[in-house]
Amino acid sequence: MRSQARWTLAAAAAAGAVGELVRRRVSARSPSPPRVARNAPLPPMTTQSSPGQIADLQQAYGADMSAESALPPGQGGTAG
Amino acid sequence: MLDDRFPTMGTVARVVRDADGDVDVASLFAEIDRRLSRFDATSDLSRLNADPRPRVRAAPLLRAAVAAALHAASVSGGLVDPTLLGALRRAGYGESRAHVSPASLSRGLRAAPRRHPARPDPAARWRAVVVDDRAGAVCRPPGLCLDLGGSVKGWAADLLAGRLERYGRCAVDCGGDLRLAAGGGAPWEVRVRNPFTGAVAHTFRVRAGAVATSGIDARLWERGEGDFAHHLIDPATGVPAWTGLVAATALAPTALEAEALAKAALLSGPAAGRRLLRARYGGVLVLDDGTVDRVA
Repeated sequence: MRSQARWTLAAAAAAGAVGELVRRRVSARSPSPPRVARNAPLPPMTTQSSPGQIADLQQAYGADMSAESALPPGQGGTAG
Repeated sequence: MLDDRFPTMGTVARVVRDADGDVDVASLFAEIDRRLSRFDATSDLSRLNADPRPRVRAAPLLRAAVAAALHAASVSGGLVDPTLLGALRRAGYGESRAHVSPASLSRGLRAAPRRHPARPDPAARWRAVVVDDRAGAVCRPPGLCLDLGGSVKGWAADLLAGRLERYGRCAVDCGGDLRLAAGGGAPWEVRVRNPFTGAVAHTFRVRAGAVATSGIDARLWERGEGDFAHHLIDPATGVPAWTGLVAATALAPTALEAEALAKAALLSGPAAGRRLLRARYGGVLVLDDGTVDRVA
């Protein structure tokens, strides 16, 4: 009776350890993705010669490019 | 959807996706910048270029990027040549121009020399570059410096999209070189921007594949009064190519191939560029006079 109890306790401990290991591995492999609408409409994309719009560069780099952006009409909208 | 912009590779990348999963987008771009920039003397690429030995141990990311550059050279028949770093520096592109607005396109075109198609370098030095993955090394004649700028953005878009598409729809835009995956749903709409007006010159709808644009307008500078240069070098002459085209957009299965085809079309000029795109997957050409030519 005592040995059966020990076996049960050991099995339970092992199962718990394995369960925790599996939980950790599953957790590591599958981080909770942010909740998103899978059927959300796709925004339009743009292709142009790099480096993209001046506004994009200013936003991404945080650079003040206003003095260098004095391009003639018709060319100021994009750098690409 | 998630929609973010990242400064990287001297340009701005836009990444639109349903979910990131286990992909760390910002870290991947940072790793690419850290290892592959020719403007950073401590990058893996700069160390490779400075190394006097013919065989140099190289990390997997650098080996993959060099292999991609060699593939672009092969796809383009040698027009997209990664061995033109010296010519780029002589043209005035020794430092990053990420924060510099381009010179006037109309003035540059008026001052440009007679137009003619670019040609591959008969020496084809890129064929002497070998990526040895088993040895973990890149081999090239000492002194032959590489510039990955002609292929790295398309390659990076493919790399990132390949990871993100496991978690849903995604579009990765690396400075105008796009890789797209829409699954079974509605296709992505990709607008081709007219370099003269900023208006939409054409719209593609892509469910899975790539679109890339190459042009002389974004990296255009004035070296002296009336002396303009840009970053697309004629491999045969080693000077900026004025071919009669301002921009070329190409469709392809991968962004690496689309980028190579767009550059090759632009360097080939209007007639040969049209033939090239028509023989592959189609695209759009914008001529010096502003004509927009959809090639199907």
